[in-house]
Amino acid sequence: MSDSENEDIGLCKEKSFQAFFNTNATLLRNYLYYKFGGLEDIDDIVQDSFIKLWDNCTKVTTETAKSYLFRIAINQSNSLLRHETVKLKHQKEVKHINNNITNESPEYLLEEKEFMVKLEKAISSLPDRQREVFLLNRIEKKTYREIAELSSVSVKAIEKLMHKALLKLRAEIENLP
Amino acid sequence: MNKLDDIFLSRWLNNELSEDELNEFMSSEHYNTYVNIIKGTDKLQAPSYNLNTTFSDLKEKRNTTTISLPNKPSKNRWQWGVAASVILLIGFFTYFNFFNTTEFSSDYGKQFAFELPDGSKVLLNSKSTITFNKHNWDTNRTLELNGEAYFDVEKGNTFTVKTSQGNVSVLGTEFNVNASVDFFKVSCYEGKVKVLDNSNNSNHILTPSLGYQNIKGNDPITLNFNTIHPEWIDNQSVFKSTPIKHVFKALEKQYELQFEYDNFDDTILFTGSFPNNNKDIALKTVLKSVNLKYTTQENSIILED
Repeated sequence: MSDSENEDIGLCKEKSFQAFFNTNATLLRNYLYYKFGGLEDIDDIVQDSFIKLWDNCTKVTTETAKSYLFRIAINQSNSLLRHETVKLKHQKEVKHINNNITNESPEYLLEEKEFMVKLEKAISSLPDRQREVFLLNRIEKKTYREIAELSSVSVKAIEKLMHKALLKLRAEIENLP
Repeated sequence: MNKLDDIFLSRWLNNELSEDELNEFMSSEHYNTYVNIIKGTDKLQAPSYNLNTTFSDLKEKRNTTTISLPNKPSKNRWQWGVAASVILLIGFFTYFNFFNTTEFSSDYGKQFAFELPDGSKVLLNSKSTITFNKHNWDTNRTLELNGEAYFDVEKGNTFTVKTSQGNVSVLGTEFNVNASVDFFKVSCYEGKVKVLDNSNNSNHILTPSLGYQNIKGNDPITLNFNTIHPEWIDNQSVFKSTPIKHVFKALEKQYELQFEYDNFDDTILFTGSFPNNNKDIALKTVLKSVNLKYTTQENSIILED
């Protein structure tokens, strides 16, 4: 108990605040990015949200800091952001070529490339909430429970969103020429 | 439960399907597409994010109040009414956050007027920034400028404008400062202005209708003019013997443009003006007079060889 009390007081100090920032900033940024796209606005919102948290560091505990942070960021972005296309990057090609080095013919690679283009289009066309949940799970490797906690909803709600996201992606991809 | 429910895809990803459910799913016509979607998405990642620079930016930002200017069309008269309400807003923020400094900045093609705590007036030209400490303003009238601004200073103790190129100090007067990395120009409209040029450690006293200009790579010159305030207040940008790339920079600031060129004679000096409220005419005026052909592409101006 005394440990967590010390941490609580510590969030105002630069060192511990920076540690908190390092643990949570990338997730917050990607969370907003998956949801809205458009990096410039998002980077500002992430910074402003952390500043607000820092200014209010005496009012939060280590347990509540994270959800407080996400709440500020979500409120801000809902009113500020214009939605833009989410542009994701391919991981270094090396990785998956190595995995399948034996059977990748040029035709296969071309087909895969075409599929990836479709997939990215389909992801961009998902409703915000579905895209956010889907990418947090697949790219950030967050469990349904973790995702549910970020936006204070039930695990069941996340499971439904995830399911819908997949249905929609499949339909989009099969419909794309 | 044997039938596939409304979250079975979520459960599939978590390996929570029963054997029967899995068999049923795998035999469905869409199964392969789902597998490919998951395989494909697992190869994606978000653009990278630099924690260290973001954190230091954040710290800096926390110590500065930034007021983004309302996107009003620039008018050619001072807008004190707008400025006054912004000042109130800053007072409000400052009161709660104990910020040390106040910062005003103007956007591309915008001008912005505001009053300092002693009633001195400042008009910022486009894409310029002023930072000052409002708490000790009465005892220390010093502000930092990056870009161009016109000052109407109330009488009082020394008023200093710090720039990267040098300092300008006065007691009470009207003057204009334009300073960026390699450009420094000060014009005096009323009273007396003292200019300290850091690049050559020289002092210059300016009286009304006199200006001082020092552009990197050129000799400093004294300017004579007969206007009662800077031309940019009337939506004109005026240059005398100014290297053409600084004129490009002024166009970029005014119209949110980007000049692109490989090689051209950048020793060309430009004397003349362009309007700040008509992009096409501004571009034509400048580029025709120095005989450069160009094409436009969105916000880029591409100079032809």
